[in-house]
Amino acid sequence: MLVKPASHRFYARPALLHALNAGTVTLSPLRPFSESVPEGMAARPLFELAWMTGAKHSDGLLPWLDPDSQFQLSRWPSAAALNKSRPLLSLCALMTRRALGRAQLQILSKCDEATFNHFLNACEISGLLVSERRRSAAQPTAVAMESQRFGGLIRGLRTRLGLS
Amino acid sequence: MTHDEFKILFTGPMGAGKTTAIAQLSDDECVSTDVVNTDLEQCNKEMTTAGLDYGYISLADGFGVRLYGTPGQERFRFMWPILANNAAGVILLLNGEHPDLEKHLAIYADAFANNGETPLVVGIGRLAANDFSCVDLVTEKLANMGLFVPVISVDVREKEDVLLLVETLLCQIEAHEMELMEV
Repeated sequence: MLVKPASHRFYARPALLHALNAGTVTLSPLRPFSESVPEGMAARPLFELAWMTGAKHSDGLLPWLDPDSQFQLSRWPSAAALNKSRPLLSLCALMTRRALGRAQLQILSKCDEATFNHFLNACEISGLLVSERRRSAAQPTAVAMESQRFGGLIRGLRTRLGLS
Repeated sequence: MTHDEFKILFTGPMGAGKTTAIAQLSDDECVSTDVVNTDLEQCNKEMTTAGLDYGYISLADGFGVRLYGTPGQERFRFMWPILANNAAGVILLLNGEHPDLEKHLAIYADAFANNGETPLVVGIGRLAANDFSCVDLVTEKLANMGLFVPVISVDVREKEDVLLLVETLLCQIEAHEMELMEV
């Protein structure tokens, strides 16, 4: 694998990309490389490598992240990284609006613990996560999500379009 | 607009795929007000939407979702606020290969994002498979406008891509609604 930070790209052969995505490969430390990119290597955004490192190559929450913090996103991650997962899309929508605690985020997004930790890790490694140690004034609950103005319509639309 | 229906608005410049996207979702054939395109400099296509596109998705128990598409030509801009009124969310479609992409983004984000108060998703079409920079550019430009919204590379001819835009918008609407309830 080659990494070109200046162009925000990394290059890898399809088999390695697949292994990276599956989390079944251990990478050695990077070293300088000055030759051109060999044929057969696909260019991918560097963001994707950072994301996969956080999402696929870590167990539990990264040690420097405080689980009692409130978490927010500085921007949306790449849509491809979210893999059309509704819990992850929901987490992004919630966390780009304001900082929330782990418990609230998990309840509201209906995200399981492991997926949630991987998501936070991936956001952190990708430089998108903002954590702060304070409590928000209001703690939204699942009940709040269910009783929204459009709650029934959104559920109906998802069912109708096969998104449920 | 009654309590048993809501509205999703599709907007963007000419040729961005609004009519196609609505047609992918609508129960019946999309109602379009197409006319001969006299602005070939902006978009080289034969027909374009002069008034609006309209589609409808019927849900159970008489509920429904209205889908509106804005006219792509800026001279019909007076219709934008009328169509945007009461929209639950907006899907902004852009043509990634158009030389005026950044200008289009600025115009439409300014007109429809409502300073981040309206749930918004941006879909960029006609991007090459290995073009990652356009999505980054648009994301950055939006962030500079204080808009932290999802930007997705899409092909609106593919229903799955349109459904991803809708699902992402629904998540945005839910997060927005939850915030409103706590105010």
